[in-house]
This record gives sequence, structure tokens and C-alpha cells, in this order.
Amino acid sequence: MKPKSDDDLLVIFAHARQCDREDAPAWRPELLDRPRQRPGFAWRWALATACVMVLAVFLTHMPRHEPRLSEALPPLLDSPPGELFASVEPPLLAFEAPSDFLLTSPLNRSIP
Amino acid sequence: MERAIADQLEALHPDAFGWALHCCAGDHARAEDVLQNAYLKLAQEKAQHDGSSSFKTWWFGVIRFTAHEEFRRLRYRESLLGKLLLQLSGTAHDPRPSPARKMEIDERTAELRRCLAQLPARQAEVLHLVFYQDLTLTEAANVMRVSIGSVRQHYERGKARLRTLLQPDSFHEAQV
Repeated sequence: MKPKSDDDLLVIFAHARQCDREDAPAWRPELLDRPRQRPGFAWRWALATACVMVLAVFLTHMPRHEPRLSEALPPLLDSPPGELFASVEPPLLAFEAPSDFLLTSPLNRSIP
Repeated sequence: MERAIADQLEALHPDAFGWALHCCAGDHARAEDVLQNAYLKLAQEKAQHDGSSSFKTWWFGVIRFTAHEEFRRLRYRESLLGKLLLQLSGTAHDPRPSPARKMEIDERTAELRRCLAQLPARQAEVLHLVFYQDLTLTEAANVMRVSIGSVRQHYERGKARLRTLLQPDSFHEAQV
């Protein structure tokens, strides 16, 4: 039981209720008997299946082993083993400059 | 489905539509969809009354939950596709009633709906359930899945706020 002071609200809500009742859709008992298939549900399954098939085809045809670039390219700077700078004439180690005497170590200087 | 349940649903159908209409902010098309989906849940036995509460409060709880589901779905679609469709077609779904429909809706009912829309959702819900559906506060708490103390607080605050909004002076000032 509502207090009397709420009668103003009760009247307003009762009026709204009456208006909504006139607009309410008719009762359809068949709604309770016939489960409805949600529209678009089959489409979602078809789309998901198609995606899986495309992914499977892509993975099947993908090359299994990709050779490394260093293995795939021919050797460009390959050289036979040998002494470094062997072809240089005269040999670098035997070269003597004219000013080499200036580099004589004092310890090697001969005592007069 | 059992005949007794079908009879109860038929008796509650107009009030159930009124509750769905409130849950959908007065959008008739969405309210019909929500109510239809709620009936579908019953037909598929996804929702079953366990007898812990009255049939009416349980059924209104199902409708409320279905409306929230529908709202989330609608918001998701609008966020992803709505903008794209809006750009492609240049039109959008307008939840407000058409001008012809506006003429049909009684001015007092429209004013009540406008005022309820300005209240917090919980306050508007409890006022609808108590005054429109004639439920007790305990039954309203069952429908809303909140405690009786919380419902009482929403009820008192909602009443005071609704009265303020429904006063003619403040209503016309708000329109200006």
C-alpha cells in the first residue's frame, strides 16, 4: 500500500500505463512454440569456415624451407689459401728505407 | 511449454511490454525485439523459473537482462559498423519516435518519459516498477538484483527528483 502523498505520481504513471497498453503488440502464442533461428547466424558460420579453409590452403602451399642468402649466392670473394702479400715485389719485410740509420737504437751503438 | 506458464505470460504481456519499453528508453521497435527475444529464451528453455521468487519478478528480471544484452549488442554494432554505414548511406537509426508517432503519444506520458530519462537509471527503474507495475520494494529489488536498502534509497531520492522535474515551472524553464 502506497502512502497517500504518492497519489500524484500514481495518477501520472497509471495514465502512462494506459497509453502503453494501447500501443502494446498483440499477444502471439506461437512465439513460445517456434524457436527462431537468429538471422545471420548461418552466415557467420559460413564466413568462419571460409576463413579456416583459406588459412589451411595458405599454410599448405607455403614453402617449408627458405635457404639462407649466404648459401644461395655464389662465392664472389673466395681466394685460394697462401701467404699474405706474396705477390708484392720486393717483399715488404725486406724493404730498407734510406733513413733507417736514424732509427738506430743507442743500445746497439758500438763503443769506440 | 506448460499451459499454466503460457497463461501467465499472456496475462503479463501488456505490462511486460511496458517494462521492456522502459528498459529501451521508450523505443517501441527495440522493446518489441527485446520482448520477442525474451520469449525466445523461454521457448528454448534458456531461462527457467525456479520458484525462488514470484513469476512476475522473475519474468521482469529476464526482460531486463535481455534488454541489457540487446543494448550491449547494439552499442557494439554501432561502434564498428554504424559509422561506416552512416558514411555510406548518409542515414542513421533514429531511436526517437517519428513525428506522426509523436502526435499520437500523449503529452503527459511524453513528459513523464522525459523526466524519467533525466533520472539515474536505477532510480527510474525502481519508480517504474513500483508506480507503473505496482510491485513492492522487495519485488523491485528482486527484479533489479540489488538489496532492499539500496532500492529504498533509490526510491526516495527518485521520487523527490521526479517531483522536482515534473513541476510545471521547472519543466517549461527546461524547455526554454
